[in-house]
Amino acid sequence: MTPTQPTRSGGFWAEAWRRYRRRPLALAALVFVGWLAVVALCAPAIAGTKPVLCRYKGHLYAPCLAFFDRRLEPAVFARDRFRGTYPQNLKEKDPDSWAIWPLFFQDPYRAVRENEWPGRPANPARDEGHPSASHPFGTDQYGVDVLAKMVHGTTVALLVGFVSMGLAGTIGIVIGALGGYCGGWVDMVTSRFTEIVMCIPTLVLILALTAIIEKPSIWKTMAIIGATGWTGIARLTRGEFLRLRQSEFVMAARAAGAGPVRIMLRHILPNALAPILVPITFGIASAILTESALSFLGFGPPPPSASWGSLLNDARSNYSMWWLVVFPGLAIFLTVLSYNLIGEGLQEATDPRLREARK
Amino acid sequence: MATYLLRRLLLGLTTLVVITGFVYGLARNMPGTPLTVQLGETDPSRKINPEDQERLRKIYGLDKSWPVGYAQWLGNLLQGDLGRSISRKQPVTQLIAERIGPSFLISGTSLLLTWLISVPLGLYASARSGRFDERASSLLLYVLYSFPTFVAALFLQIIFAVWLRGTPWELPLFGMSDLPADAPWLARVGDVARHAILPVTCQTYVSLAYDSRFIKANLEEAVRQDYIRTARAKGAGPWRVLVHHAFRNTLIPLVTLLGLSLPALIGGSVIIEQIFTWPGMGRLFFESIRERDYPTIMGLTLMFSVLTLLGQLLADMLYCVVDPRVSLD
Amino acid sequence: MIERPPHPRHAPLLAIKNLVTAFHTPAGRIPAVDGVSLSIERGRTLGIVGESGCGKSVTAMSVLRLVASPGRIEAGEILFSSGGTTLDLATLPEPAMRSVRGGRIGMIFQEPMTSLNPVFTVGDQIAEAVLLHRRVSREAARARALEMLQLVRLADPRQRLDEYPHQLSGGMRQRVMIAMALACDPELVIADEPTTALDVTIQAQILELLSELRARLGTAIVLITHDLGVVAETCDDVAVMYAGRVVEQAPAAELFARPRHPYTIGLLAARPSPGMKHSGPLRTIPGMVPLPQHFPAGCRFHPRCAYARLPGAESGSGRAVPLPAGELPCNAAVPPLHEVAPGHLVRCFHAESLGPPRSAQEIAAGGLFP
Repeated sequence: MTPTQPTRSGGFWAEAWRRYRRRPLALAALVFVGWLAVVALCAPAIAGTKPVLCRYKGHLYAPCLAFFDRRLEPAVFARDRFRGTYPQNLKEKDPDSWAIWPLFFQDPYRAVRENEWPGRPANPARDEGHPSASHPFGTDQYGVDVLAKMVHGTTVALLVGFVSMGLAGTIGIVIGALGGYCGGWVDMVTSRFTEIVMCIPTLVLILALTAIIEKPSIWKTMAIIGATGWTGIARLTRGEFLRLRQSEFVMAARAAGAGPVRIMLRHILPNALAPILVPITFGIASAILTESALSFLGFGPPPPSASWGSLLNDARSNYSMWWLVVFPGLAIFLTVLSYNLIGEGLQEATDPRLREARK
Repeated sequence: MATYLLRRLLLGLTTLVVITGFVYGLARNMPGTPLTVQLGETDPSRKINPEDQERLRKIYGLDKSWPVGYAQWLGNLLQGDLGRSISRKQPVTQLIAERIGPSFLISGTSLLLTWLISVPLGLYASARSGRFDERASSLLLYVLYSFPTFVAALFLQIIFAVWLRGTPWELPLFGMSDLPADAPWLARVGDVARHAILPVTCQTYVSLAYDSRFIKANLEEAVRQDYIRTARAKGAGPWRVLVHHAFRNTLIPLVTLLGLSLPALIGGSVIIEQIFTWPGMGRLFFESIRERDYPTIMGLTLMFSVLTLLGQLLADMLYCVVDPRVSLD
Repeated sequence: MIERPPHPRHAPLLAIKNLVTAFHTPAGRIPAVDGVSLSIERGRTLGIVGESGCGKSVTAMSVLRLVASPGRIEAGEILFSSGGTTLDLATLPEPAMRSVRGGRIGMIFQEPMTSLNPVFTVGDQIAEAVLLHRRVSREAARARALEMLQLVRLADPRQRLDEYPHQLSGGMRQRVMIAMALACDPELVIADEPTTALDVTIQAQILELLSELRARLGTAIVLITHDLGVVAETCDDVAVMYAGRVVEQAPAAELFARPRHPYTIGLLAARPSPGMKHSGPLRTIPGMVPLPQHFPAGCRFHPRCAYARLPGAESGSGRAVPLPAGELPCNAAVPPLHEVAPGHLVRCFHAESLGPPRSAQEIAAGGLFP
């Protein structure tokens, strides 16, 4: 390169990624969350009592998908009266069948019975359920394996984070953008509205909404958390839009004839996105915590659902079973820690003023 | 100044009416009433006949629709009457008065400890920024900040109340006090203190971690400013630069934080009070929702909302005191 | 390297010798100041001129050891002779350095809008400058602050004492900065682009103020600027810097009349002047200031120099420029700063015999930059 040539820049996000990469903890957090995502996606293949893939009476099925949605259980197994128990029935009803089993044959919703898997005793319950070779994380008071519960709980945890924050982010950005860009009475209305929602004690809101919703389920809990967690994002978005509204590129766009929606979406939002992403990331951690707290207090989705918080709830009535606290607690902690690290890394990578000078 | 306060007051009152109205509607629309909840908990063989039920409903105002009920509540409020709790048969004001003390004990101690520790910690972290001890303590604080309170509470309970049972290090598991009310005053104070250790610890460590990181981040931002360079060029030493010049500027965002922590100060944390069965306001809130005790729910909501609005006002006014560039509109 | 011999009767007030200040960034070591030598006489004004990034501000900050990490003074001496003693500011222990800062050497910065602490009054900040170095009462410090505000001709000084910086305009704040810098009667004041952020009329007032103060108080001034006009008006001596080095130093009149370094010649030639013809483009120096990571070997200016002498093969244009025997090519070694006339120093091998300049196209064809 010759001495007096300027260098090319890779664009805002490429620069941000470069800066993000320099922080080992933030990278580690990203790797951890990525691993969690893999676990969440493959949960039925990691721990479950249904085959991942099996060949039965000449057809291929993937019964494990029933763990994601009950309706995905192939109807043939119900017709042939499997009743959820696969190992014996497959062999008995079709000697030519084969199956690929999950890594760990345990069910997150019930205790495995004696000889359900040939040669294995029933799951221990209560105090005998401490961690052992066959149950690395132990079993709960009903004998349900904790590792299986935690693996499937990962799906819940990550979903809760993304879905509720997706909802909260959308609501917050829309409200904040409208207020910040339009100003005047629109801003007054949206600001007052935001203030009011902020003033209502969040817990009351969540508990009340949960009670009102007829059939609590994990999706409704996520929607409620999302519907109550948008105020901080709205405030920040409003501030950013207020600030950017004065910029010259907005004036230029308006002079070129762009309408308000186009200006907000195409011009201002990409510039405002970086600081807004930060509370959204922290919000994911917070949503996971809130869901765990709700389950812990007994307000989460009803028992068969496997969430880390519900494990902690069980722990409250069984103090001697320390493994019910340690493993889910650590899982929640590490996940929250990772999201916090990612959020902080994102903040440092995208805020031009925070460039640290290191030796 | 007077016009500003007046405007805030009016705005605040409107907000309060909207909030309390909304919460009342929400509460009344939750399935179940205080009666059904009570009935559900009592012996099913002891049934109340329909006339008594109707009578009770009239007494508690449950037969009216919720807008009317709200108007009634509002009317009573303006006369200074917060009503009686349905499930506990006590005036709401008395209930709240009983529970404020314990909540404040935990929150107040926690807030004091937090500020006493986080300010020096933040200053120290800023002064030794980048060095090994600061990075280590920063990591530790970060870990603390991410550790969920209820998990920590459970951990601590298992360690101190179960594993260490029988040792002098044991701490009580539940409640505020084990001694009867007529025990000597000093012994009772000590007993309450022992019971408060775990809840206070759980409440403090999170805000401690957050506040000291907040202070450090703001100090580092302040230290990057041009006026710090000027101060150094004048011959000011590193401590004077940090404490006199930088910290004074950090007070600006800090003060907002202080104002906004007012509601939590009185309100108490629902989760911590649930875990430790601490007889505070948070627990009362939770229980009253579960029992559908509308008067108590409303009384608590009112208090909480008033505190929130006051806290915001306080934050705004302190902001003006601390930053000479800002004046009230 | 030949230095200017010290005045026989007294040592210069400030003598910077071979100062090297480098920044250790993740991208590598950047020598912002690479062997700078300057001397400032008592009661005189030295102007340091150069483009952005040439190292003039870093030089100034190095004198007071205010260079921010990851920058450090790596080599050289900064000899400050006053009160009968000579201190090496580069290696002075920090507590002693603090008493020099503000007490014996004052500094004025470029951005008056942000250089004052917004939460303290103007009077408090000037009084602080006094209280840090003199054991006097608060009232005495406040009285001194008032005196300084009067000295810098600030309107309504008594009222200004209790006002906050945000209540003052840019020009007024800069006067406050000057008052603060002079509060302890320093022998030297370093002004880092004090007027760059101000508009032209205010600029003139501030410069006039500085000259007047220098005349009245006998303070030496180091004025850092990129504006040759400012230098011509106010400075006794001028030093021109390029890429971390001083390339020419001379009394102001001499420099403007007889510039010797190709860079200075280029700078002076680039100014529009009243007698110019209106047709044709302005003359510029081709190319750009090199990035520290890519400093050329030898003389750092030679790729852009109209008078560069390089062996034929390296001049790229195919035209062999004959080098007289014994003469050094410009990229062979760093030229030393040597005296070509009394008080006039130049860092160029060929300063005495520059010869005809090459045209801009020929310089560009040298292929040393796009």
